[in-house]
Amino acid sequence: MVELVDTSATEYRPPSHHRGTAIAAGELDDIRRAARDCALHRESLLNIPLVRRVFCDLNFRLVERGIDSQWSYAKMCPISVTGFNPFERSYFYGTRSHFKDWLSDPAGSPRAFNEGDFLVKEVLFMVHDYLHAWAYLTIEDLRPELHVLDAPITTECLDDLAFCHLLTEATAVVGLDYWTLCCVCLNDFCPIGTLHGPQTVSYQEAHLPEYRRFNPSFTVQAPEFFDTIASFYATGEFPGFDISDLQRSPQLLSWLRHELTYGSAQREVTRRWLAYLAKDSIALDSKRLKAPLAIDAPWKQQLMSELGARLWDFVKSGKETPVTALPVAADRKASTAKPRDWRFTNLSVSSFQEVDPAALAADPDSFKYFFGQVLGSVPFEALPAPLVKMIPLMLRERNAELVLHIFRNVDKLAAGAHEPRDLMVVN
Amino acid sequence: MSQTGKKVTVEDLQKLRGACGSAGLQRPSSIGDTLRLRLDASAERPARDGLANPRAKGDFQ
Repeated sequence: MVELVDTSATEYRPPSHHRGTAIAAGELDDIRRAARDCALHRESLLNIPLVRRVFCDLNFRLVERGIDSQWSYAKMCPISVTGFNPFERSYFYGTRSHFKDWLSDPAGSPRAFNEGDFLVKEVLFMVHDYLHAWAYLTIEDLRPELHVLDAPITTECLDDLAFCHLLTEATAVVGLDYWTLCCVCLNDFCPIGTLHGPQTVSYQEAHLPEYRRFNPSFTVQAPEFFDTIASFYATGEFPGFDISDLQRSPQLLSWLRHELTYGSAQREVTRRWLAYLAKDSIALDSKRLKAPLAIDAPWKQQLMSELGARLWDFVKSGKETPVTALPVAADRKASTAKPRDWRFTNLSVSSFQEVDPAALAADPDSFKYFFGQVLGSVPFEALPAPLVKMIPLMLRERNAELVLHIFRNVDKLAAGAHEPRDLMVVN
Repeated sequence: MSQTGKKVTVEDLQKLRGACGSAGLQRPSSIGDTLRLRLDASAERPARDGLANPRAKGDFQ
């Protein structure tokens, strides 16, 4: 089981710089190195073992982006646009965010940076994104012949690579949510009054007796449960229960309705993302995007089992099988010759000329993420009130030329020095 | 893992009463709808004190 960290024998010392102020370039790595051994404030988020391990792993980068997260905190923009890219092995955070402020003193109490509980959510998603990257490295270690990090993405291998990506999603969800956050209360590690529990699942360990009324052998806290979630993401079929069970148990319905709806989008997003990164065009209609993935090949069954076992060791007992920290996957970059898809293209490092208004008018989903990125790049308080009032009109019209014209003279946040061009902004 | 032989899919949720409402598939939230609901409150958006306000450079910068 996860163990609490005993900090009673150490005394926290505040940093020499002013808390909440930006730390100097290059200082972050020193702070992360020091966090391995330094004394922690009783309320520090680094008292959560998984958070401390992720934060101290310098092979995983923390990358600042030119985004004001206040748009998301204030629910003015219901989509988060900080983005994610498992091949970059990074967590991306807004240059204006609680996470950025927290980096000035992660060993101290986070209460001053956690208004609205947004910081805790960001820190937990840092762990979620880390587990994605960890899973890719582990798959590369277990099955190097797959070249999961650099094999050319083609029509023929798209589904095999999609299967591997779904394994990394299962790793993040099972490792952080089912096996950690469903089992502990974060306030036991760091008493900061957080309300956060599992981030992406509605499962509750306390409801296990109810779930077992319909499936007596059902067990989540075992390595084999990883296979259940990974198989479900691939096939769309959740084993062990049927719709009649869900009709008779509100607790079961609450958990599985969330899981079924969350899982149904995974295959579509994954195939779309990989096709976007492919050098050549891959034709994917709606049916093909959502189609189940076969999992009966022996290598797939074996890989699921081995990855689940390693994840169990990593999360539950802190045991880690060393894997080589390979360079960031340079071959996983979209061709600049292909049309932009603002679900996956970082607007902060793009130019006006790359925006195709006609394409955006025809694709409401891509426009939504284009507009979200435009909004996120503006300092929250800098958008004049008359323009705020025009937001509904801009969304309704889906006219990218109009948006670019309106925002042409509005201040934007500078892009971070290490922002990638390809990002899974879609969420 | 499962000894029951049972399974459930996202399509099965349509069999629930009120499938298009709270018990079934949720209509994806619309950025437009959400923003319209929030607009009235936007006039009193809190400022984030102590943060710089970098000037733009380039197209989106």
